[in-house]
This record gives sequence, C-alpha cells and structure tokens, in this order.
Amino acid sequence: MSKKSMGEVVMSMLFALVGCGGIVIIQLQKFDALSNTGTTDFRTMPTFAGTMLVLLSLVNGSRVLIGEYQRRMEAAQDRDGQRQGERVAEEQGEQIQGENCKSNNHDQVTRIRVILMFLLCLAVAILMKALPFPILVFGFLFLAFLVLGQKKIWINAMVSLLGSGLVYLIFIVLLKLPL
Amino acid sequence: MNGVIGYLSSAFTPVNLLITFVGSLLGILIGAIPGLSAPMVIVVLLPITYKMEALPALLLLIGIYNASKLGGSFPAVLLRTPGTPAAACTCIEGHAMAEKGEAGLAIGYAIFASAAGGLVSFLACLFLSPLIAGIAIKAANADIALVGILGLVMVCIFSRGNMIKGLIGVALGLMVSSVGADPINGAVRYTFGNRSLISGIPFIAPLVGMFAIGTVLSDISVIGRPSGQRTGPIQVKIPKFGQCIRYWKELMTGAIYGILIGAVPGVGAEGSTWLAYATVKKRSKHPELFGTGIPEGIVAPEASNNAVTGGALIPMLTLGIPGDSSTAIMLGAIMLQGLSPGVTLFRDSPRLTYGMIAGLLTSTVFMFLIAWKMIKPFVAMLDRDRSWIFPFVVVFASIGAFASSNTTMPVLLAVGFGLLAYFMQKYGFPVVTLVLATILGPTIETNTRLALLFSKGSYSIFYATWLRKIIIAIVLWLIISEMINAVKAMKTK
Repeated sequence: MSKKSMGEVVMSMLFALVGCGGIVIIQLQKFDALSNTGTTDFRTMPTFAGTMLVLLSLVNGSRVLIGEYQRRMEAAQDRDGQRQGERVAEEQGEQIQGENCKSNNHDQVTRIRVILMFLLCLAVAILMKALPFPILVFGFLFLAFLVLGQKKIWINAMVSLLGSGLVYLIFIVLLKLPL
Repeated sequence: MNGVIGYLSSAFTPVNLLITFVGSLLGILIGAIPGLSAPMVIVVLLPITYKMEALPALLLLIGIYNASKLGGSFPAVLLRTPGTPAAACTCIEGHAMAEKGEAGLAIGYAIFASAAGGLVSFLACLFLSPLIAGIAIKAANADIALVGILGLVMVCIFSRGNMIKGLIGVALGLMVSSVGADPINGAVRYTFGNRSLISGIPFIAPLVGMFAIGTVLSDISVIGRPSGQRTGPIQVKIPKFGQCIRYWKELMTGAIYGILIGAVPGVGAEGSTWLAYATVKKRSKHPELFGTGIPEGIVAPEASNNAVTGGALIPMLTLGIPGDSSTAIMLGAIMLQGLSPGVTLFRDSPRLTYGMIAGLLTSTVFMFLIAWKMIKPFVAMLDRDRSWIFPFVVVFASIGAFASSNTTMPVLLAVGFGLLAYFMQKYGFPVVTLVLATILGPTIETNTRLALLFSKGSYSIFYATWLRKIIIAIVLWLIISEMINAVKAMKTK
C-alpha cells in the first residue's frame, strides 16, 4: 500500500475514533439542571456530528482500501507490461535513482523541519505567559530561521532582533495589546 | 437613498481611504508571493484590527482580500507559478504572452480586467445585498437553519477533493462547535472540566491554526525549491481603452460568473476562473488560438477572479454565511468587534455593511493605481525566500490568538488545529469545510433547536413553506447528483 493511502486510512480511522469517543462521552453525560425536551436535547447536535463522522470516515477508509486492492489486482494482471517497464527503468537506472535520492532527501529534510517547527510553535504557546514577549519572539524567530534552513547565524540574529523589536513596537507600544 | 449614500461615504474619510490603500498594497504584495495566501495574511493581521473600529478594520481586510486576487496574476504571467490558486488559469495565456515578449501587456490586461471585474462586482453587491437582506430579515429559525445546512453542503461539494472528505471536515467542525455550554439549555459539553472551554472553542483558534500555522507547516516543503521560469525585464503597458473595450463580452462573462459563483459558499474564485476561461474559449471564433497567448484568455478569468469578491460578500453580509475562506475570517473579525453577523447585520449596522461595500470600490481603484504605477517592486518580490516570512506569520498569528482573550488556551488550540490542518492537507481533506462548519455550527444548532421548540418537536416545520421545500430539494439534489457522479466515475475507472 502506498504511503499516501496508508496515511489516509489512518486519518480516517482516527476521525472515526474521535466520532465514537464524542458519541460515547455525550451520551454518558448527565445534565439535571433543566429538563431536556426530546428533540431539543443538548445531545442531538454532537451525536449527529459524531455519527456522521464515524460513518463517513469508515466509508472513506473503505474507499481507499478498495481502490488499493483494485490497483493491486490491475498491477498483477499487467505483470508482463510491468516487467517491460522495469527493463526500461533499468536502462535509465542511474538517472532515476539519482532523482529519487534527491527527492527522498528533500522529503526527509522537510519532515524534520515540520516536526521542529511544530515543536517551536508549541513552545511559543506554552511559554507565552512565562517569558517576556520580546525575548520569546527573538528566540522563536532565531530558531525558526535556523530550522527553515537559514544558516548564517549573524544575519539570523540581526533579523530576529529587528523582528522582535518591530513586533514590540507595533503590538505593545502602538496597539497596547496585553502581551 | 440619502441614507445609503451617507453610509457609503463612511468609507471615503481620509483615514479609511488610507487604510484601504494600505490593505490593497499588502494584498497585491501577498498575492504576488507564491505560497502566501490572502486568508493566511488576513488571519495574521487580525491582532492589528483589535484596537481599530469595526469599519476601518474590515476595510483593511477587504483591501487585502480584493487586491491579492490581482497580485496572484503577476507570478502567473512571469514565472508560470500562480501566486494564488485562482490565478492558475492566467498562467496559460499570460505566460504564453510573456514568452512572446509581451509580459507587460499581459499584466496590463490582467490589471484592467481585474479592476473592471471588481467594479461590476461592487455594483452587484451594492444592489443585490439590500434586496437579499430585506428577504432574509423576515426569515424564521427554520429558514436560517436550512440556509446554513445548504451552505455547508455546497462547501463540501465544491471544495477540492471529494464530497466524503468535505463532509468529514463538516462533521469535525460541527463537533468542534459543540464544545462548551449549549446555546439553549446551557449544558456543558466536551470541556473535560476545563473552565476556559465553557464559552466554547474560541473561533480564532481554528482560524489561526488552519490558515496560518497549518499552511506554514504544509508549505515548508516548498522552501528551497525554485519558483519557476522568470521571463526578462518587464514594463507594464496598460492596453488602451479602445483595445480593452473590444473584449467587453469576455469581461462581462467573467464578471457574471465571478459574482454568481462567488456567492455560492465554498466554490471560490478557482472554479469561476476556469469556467469563465472554458466558456470564452467555447464561444470564440478562433478557439485554436487559446493557449498561444491571447488577451481574451486573460481578461475573462481575471475579471471573474476579482468579481468573486463582491459575490462572496453578498451571503456574508446578508445571511452570515461566508462565501470563501477569506470572508469566513472577515466574519470572525466582525464577531471580534462585538457585532453579530447574520440576517440582522444589515439592519443593525448599515454604516458597516454599506461601508464594506464601498470599500470594494475604493480598494479596486487603489488596486488598479498601485498595480499600474508600482509594478516593479512587486515583480522584485516574486522570488523572495519564504523561510524569512513563515516565522513572522507564526508570531503574528500567535499574537492574534493570544490577544483575543489574553490567555494561552487559544494559542495552544491553534497549534493543535495547525497540526490537524497539516495532516488534513497532506491527505487531501479540505480544511475550509471544517472552518466553515465551526463558524456556522452554532447558528445551525441554535436555529434548528429553536424551530423545534416552537413546533413542539415536530420536524414538519422544516418543510412547512415553499422556500424551505425548495432549499431541501436543492440540498438533496446536490447530494444525490454528487453520489451519482461518484458512482459513474468509479464505473469509468
């Protein structure tokens, strides 16, 4: 199974789980303060949304799996054609391998950057009240530039310093936002 | 009539004109940089609007929204890389003209068509919005709930990807909108004991997460990749009025498609530009020339692209249903200003609504002047490295989320939504359906439950009038026709 299909199936299953969890939680919840009048129950909307999520996620997951199965069957039928294709590929082997290698490297770097960027965003969210705002912005910008491939430390530091100064000036001095 | 002129004139004060100018300038700049989108930048600039009055704040956003449509055509012509998805259609003829050494003329036609499309959509918005608002104000709870549902179904069908994925986004959005105290009984749902969630998930969190943090995470893959093929130095040569007027049929076709399709939630400019291009090509006496670089192929999609703005504003101002991602964020900005968008907005805040409509006109004029006179700096921005821009996007977006309630909860939620958006985009789930469902969820739930309360639990209230029957028929027709199409597509495979 291709990585994309696998990812889509996993996503669908996660969504189905979220839907199931939502239905179970809302159905178990008790609310005695006011009497609920049947159709205008507070559970109606979340239950409807949860059920929709479960059903659609299962349909989507099945659709992807069936598509993969059909593709495999077709591939098995075209085995001869595939062999022929492989022969052509062998002839162009080195070139293709080189391109794949480049693409794989780029994918790997991207994945690491995404993870690090996400962690940085999370750190900003957590530290927003703990650290003085200009210091937090400076730190984030400096590290984010590094993560995104800007290797010249001094330029990064200068841009981060100017950036945090600009943010301070706009949001704290001019707009007086409570940061 | 005098009242309307008075309301419209509120957009023409020096401060408001200056703000619209700044918005238009930013809009062209943003549109010109591939990878930066109008929704992302509107979200990023939300914190700046917190301390502004409602009208100037929205004029800034309208300026960005309107002008970014034109900005997207510059890289489309010069680099064969559309700055915005809607400008993809302009690549065909625009870049072909650029290869013939007519890049300036191609951009000139794009500027002219965008401005003309913007003006037509302004007129449509000005005359249609009060009419629709007049009808909408008489609507009952059941009508509003059904229109909301119709909006969500349309978003699913016309959003990129298949309908099932769109509906999954809607279901997730409805679940997100269920968090907190329910609108009728006050029962607390899905808060897990967290008091800051009692008033629900702040809508700024999904907006910032989905359109800013999620987009940054998704677009990290394009960092370090060349943007496209740059053509030689250009000089914008605005075509003469006589030259332009020759293409009035193409222009009007594009503008009408833009207005009509823009008014349908979720379709956005992408659908309308391709439709306008295909129609003009079909009607042309020389369809074989399309693809070789002819002005008709630029005028129609560009007029359509900018006409979408007026179309998308109509349901937003009159019904509280956003036409696309940017208008969804503007709807959020209206809420942040303490106003309640929906059928009453036109009646309660006419200065704001008419001012926004007038903002369409002023931003279109500024867009035209800026693009015409200041094209060179924008061309210089085309190849800017996004690794310098993305960290600032995250900082501004986080400030927007934090300053909305002075707590870190919206920022944490936004980061979570950002991760969700990254995976959703990676596996082809449209994020716009989730955001729109989050915004429309409370409206649909409140009105559905109130309608059921008034009818003592009888569902017959939802098909009691002809209008409601028609809306239900449209919803069913859309779903069934989409299912039939899906089955046909499977059989063809």
